Formats: sequence, structure tokens, C-alpha cells
Amino acid sequence: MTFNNLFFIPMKKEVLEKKNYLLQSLGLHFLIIILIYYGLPNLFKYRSEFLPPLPVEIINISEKTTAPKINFKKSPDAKKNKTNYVDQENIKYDKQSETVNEKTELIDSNKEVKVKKKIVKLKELKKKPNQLQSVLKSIEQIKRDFSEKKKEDKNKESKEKVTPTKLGINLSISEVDAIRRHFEKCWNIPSGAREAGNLATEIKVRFNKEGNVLDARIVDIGRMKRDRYFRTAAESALRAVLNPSCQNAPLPANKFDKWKNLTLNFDPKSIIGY
Amino acid sequence: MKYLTKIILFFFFYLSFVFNVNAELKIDITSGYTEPTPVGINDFIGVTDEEKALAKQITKLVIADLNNSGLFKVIDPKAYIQKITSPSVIPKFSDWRVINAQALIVGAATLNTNGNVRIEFRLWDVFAEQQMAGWAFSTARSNWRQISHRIADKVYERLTGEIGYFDTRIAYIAESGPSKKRIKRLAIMDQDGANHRFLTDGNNLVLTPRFSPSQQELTYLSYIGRIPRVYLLDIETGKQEIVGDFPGMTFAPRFSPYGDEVIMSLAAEGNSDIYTYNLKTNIRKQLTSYRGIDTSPSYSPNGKRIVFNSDRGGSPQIYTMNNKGKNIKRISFGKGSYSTPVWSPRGDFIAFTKFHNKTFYIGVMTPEGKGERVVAKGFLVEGPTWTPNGRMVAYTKKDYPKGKKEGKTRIFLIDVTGYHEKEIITPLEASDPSWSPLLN
Repeated sequence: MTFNNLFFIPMKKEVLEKKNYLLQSLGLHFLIIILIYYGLPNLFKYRSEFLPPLPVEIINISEKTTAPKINFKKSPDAKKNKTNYVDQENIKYDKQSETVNEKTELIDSNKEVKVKKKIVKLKELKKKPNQLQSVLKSIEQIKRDFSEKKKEDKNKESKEKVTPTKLGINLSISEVDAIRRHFEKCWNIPSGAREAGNLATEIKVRFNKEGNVLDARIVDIGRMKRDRYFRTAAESALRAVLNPSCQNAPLPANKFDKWKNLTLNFDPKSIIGY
Repeated sequence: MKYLTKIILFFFFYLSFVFNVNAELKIDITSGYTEPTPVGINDFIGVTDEEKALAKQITKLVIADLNNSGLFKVIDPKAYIQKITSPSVIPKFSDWRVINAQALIVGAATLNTNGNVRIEFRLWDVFAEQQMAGWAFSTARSNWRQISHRIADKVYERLTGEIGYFDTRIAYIAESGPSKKRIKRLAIMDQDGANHRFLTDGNNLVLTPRFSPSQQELTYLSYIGRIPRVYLLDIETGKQEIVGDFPGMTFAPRFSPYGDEVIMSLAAEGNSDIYTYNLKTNIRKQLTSYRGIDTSPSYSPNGKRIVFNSDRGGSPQIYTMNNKGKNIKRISFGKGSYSTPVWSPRGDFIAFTKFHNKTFYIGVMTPEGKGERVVAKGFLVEGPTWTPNGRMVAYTKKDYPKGKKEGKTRIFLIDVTGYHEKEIITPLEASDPSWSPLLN
């Protein structure tokens, strides 16, 4: 008689005789491993994904991931690179186009002037064949480098433009942070409340595609009824979610499935707790 | 049995996958703002002229109470879109949401034929569109002020979770005259400033009034005959008596939580120790016997421990001990000197005055000395005292504005986290506030 037979499922003799106890034993061991790994399921509470708060000022990583890489290497073609960089900026930031275009024109005109100067010099050197050949070679080299560089940059751009679609599976950190900031501005903290270190309130929120709250409910209703301090803290959190000025949350439309149901955990501990 | 095993296995596999698929994104909101909660108060409704006049007075008082608390800001009635004419009608919440009212109070006053008045009100959560509280009080018309305070109390309790304290009184030191000839009088008023009166004439310097938790009595320090002594005053009769005929000076008095004892400092030959004096048996007990200064004792709400101020560690610091004077522990370890500790009625904090680097601070810390937090600072801030619910700290503040020789001494109120500062308006300059216990 095996360990499993003794303590888990009392098996009939017929079953044992059929020699399938090895399979059952394996199944039960696997079940135990699963239970150890996941824990016993709590049927009364949703399992939620936990994201730790970021204590630093967040920059918009989504935008950064879409931004093209900038080559800051100093090279003989530095000015050309700069022109390319400005062009890319134009593609990305339309609102800044006016000022950026001016820069581009300036840089382009400088470039033209230099090329013109080189051509003038070339004409002067026509009388000296040896020198002319070397200069022609150098100009051809410059042109070749320039066209290759342009092609490379174009390829780079096209590759970089593809990147955001690859990243768009989950909400990015900056998007989560934007949601956090959105609700923070509507939450009037119950400052001075008793036991402020133990008043974290979870609110389950359902959004529509426009980012408006369709439905919001406090998770721990039981504690609401028996703890008046928690009740006031929970109600203040619920008011933050339902606040009209906090509708139209900044949620990315292409990730609706990820944010249509959110759990917001309002925790005043770090501000008024001790 | 084979099938049963398979079913069980399948069930657990299914559950584990279902929970993973349904995993929801959880976002922590750990910051917010700390502004007074905007509240709308529809004018209390009355039908007859008499009822309308009474309803107007009640509305005015409830508004004043909520505004004075520092935690609420009643929205200007001129901004109201809906004018509610019956207390039994559900408000049009969208009209109140537009003006950002988070809570709405609707009430009415009705005079009965027997001369009594029935005052009812409802508190609505505007965003959740739910009634949060509803009460009706019937009483003699002359009690309208108490009922108005009671309404404000109910609103405060429902929105903060703490007991309201609007039906209370404040004793304080009213100050007048130039700094060299300052006249200090003991005064008392309702917490909203009404029914103000002086309890002493100003001929003798008075300091540190403290309310009894059980009687309409005050204990305070007076320099009658130029000797500082602790006195007891019956507020109703005006009867004044010395607390124990101690040799030497007695000062820094405070009642025990049950009001049967006064704990204070007794100074003799340059040494000051802490004593208790039983008002019923007239027995005094010495609790500390250090050769330096032990002063400013204050009981914990359950009376088991005492916090006090001592220089036994080389500089003025805060210590706690049990009510027998044993088990002394130092709880303040920050920079600067600490004084005037007061135990919160909630028991969770001790408020104190701190002086460091030429600046005064009002702070709070836990009875174990943890979580020290400054709630106010200034050129001169001192003498913290608690509101009866232990959520707010009142203190004396004197500032020196630029271009003026001297600023005014005033009383301010602030919550334990250092937000919602609000001045308590007094007829004269004021210091050393002390709150009465809850009257209801």
C-alpha cells in the first residue's frame, strides 16, 4: 500500500489489481505540486496582478520606445548625421515642425554652400590634372558615403517604426503611471484618520472604451460594515473613481482588453500613515 | 474511482488556469490631495415665517461648524443650481456634481403645536448617489443651537469616521495690552466662538487652563500673591480653590482621565518633581524623584501611563512612565529640545513642542517614540492640545510679520498629519487652548 493510498484516496482492491495505481500516484503528486505552486484557490477573492509603485518621476517610456536612435558619434559626416536626426525629429514631432524646419534649412543651406565651394575649387584645379584626379576621387567618395548613410538611416527608421507594435501587448509602465496620476488628482486623502497605515482600499472598476467608469465597487464590503474608519477611507476612494473630473481616463484604445477591468488600490499609508 | 480522480485533477487544472486568465491589473494609488471636502448645504426648509427664520439660523450654524473644522468647505450657496424645497425628495445629483459637491445636506425645521421643534436632515453622497445618513431631532426650540451642532457632528462622523466635537467648549487665555504690561485672563467660549465670557478679571497672571474630563471644572496656574500655584475653578459657580497646600510652587497641572486626580509639578529648592493629588481624599503622591526638572505630565487615555518632560538626559526630552512612577523610558531622540507632551484622547499619538535651530515646532509621535512628524512650525508655536476626538491638534502661534514690531498671538487647529490648518477665531488675542470633553 502506497503513501497516497493511505492518506489521500482510499482505493478499491479491484483498482489496485488493475495496476493503474502508478498513474494515480503520479497524478496526485502532480496535484500536490500544483497546489504548492499556486496555493489553494480562494473562491471569494479575485487573483490580481501586482505592480509595485514607482517612487520616481516617470517619463513616457512608450514614446521613448518609438523614438529613433540618435547617433552622437563624432565623425567627418557629423553635420550630415545632424541633418538626418532633425529630419527624423520632424517625422516624430509634428508640432515642433516650424522651428525644426528652420534648423533643417539652415543646415541644408550650409551644406550647399560648402558643396558649392568645393565645386569652385574643383574648377580652379582643372588645370592641374594630378591634383584634380585626387580631388574628384575624394568628392565621389563623399557622395558615395552620403548616399549609403542615407540608405542606412532609412532602414533604421523603418525598423524602429515597427518596434511599438511589438511592445503593445501589455500596458507599459508609463501607461500604468498615467492611470495612477489620473486618479491621484481626484483622491482627497482622509488625512488625520486613525490607523491610516491600515486603510488600503481596493476598488474594482469597469471602464468603457472611452475610458469612462461604467461601474465601481469596493471589494472589502465586510470590513466596510464593521470598521467605520475603513468605511470613510473606502468611500473617499470610491468618490475619487466616480469623480466627474476623473472620467475619460488616459487609457490606450488598442489595449482595451487589458484595462477594461482594473483594480485600483488606494493606500494612504505613505502619505498619512506611520 | 478512476473517473473521480480524473475529474478532481481536471477541476484543479481548470481552476488554476481560470484564475490566471482572469488575472486583473492592479494599480496602487499612493498619492492624492488634501483639500477640505466640498460640501453643499441646501438651506434648511421651513414653511411658516417662524420656521424659515429658525431654519436659516440652523443652516448658518451648521455651515460655520463644518467650515471651522478645517476638513470641509461648504460651497457658496450662490453657486447652487438646484433649489430643493422638500427634504423628502431625492436631489438631482447631476446639478450638485457640476459644482463639485461631494456631499449634500438637505434638512427642514418644523414647529409643533406644543412649542417643540422637529429638525430633520439627510446627508447624500453625490457621486455614489446614495443617502449616507438621515436623522430627525425633536426638542424644545431653545435647544436649536445644540441640535445644529449635533447635525454637524453627525455629518462629521459619517464623513470622517471620528466622533464630532462641535457641541464643546474651549477654555483659553485671552491676552490684551502691550507686551510689557500684558493682561492675561482666563476665558471660555463654545467651540464656534459663541457664549464667550471671562472667568478671571486679569489682576493676576493665569496660565495653562485644563478642562476636567468629567466635571465642569478647570484647573490652571495662577500667580495670586505672586506665587505660582495650581487652582481649581468650578465654571458654573465661579468658585475657586487651591489644589493642595504644597510648600513651594506648583505648576503644569492636568486632570487624570477620570477627573478624580490632578497631576502636576512641584518645585522646591531648584528641584521639580511630578506629583498627583487626589481631589476626593486629598492625598498627594510623589511619582518622580530626580534632582533636575521633571514637568508637564499628561496621562494616557486609560490612565496606565504618563508622559512627561525631563532634563535627566542632559537636555529637555520626553519620557513615559507607568502611573506609579516606575518603568521610565525616553521616547524622544531627535535633534533639539522637547517639551509640553500631551497624550492624544485616541491614545495613538503624543503631541509636543520642539525647539531646534531657533525655530519652534509642533509635532506628534507614537507613545513608543516612533513616527515623529512635524505638523506646524514657526517663530513661536507652542502648547499643543487635542480636540476631544484626537484627530486635530490646537496650538498657540505667534508670528512676527515683516514691517511690524510684533505679531498677534492666535490659536490654530491642524490635523495630525499636518494638513487642514485653520484659525480658531477669538475676540481677543489668545493662547493656551484647552478643549472640553464631549458634552453629549
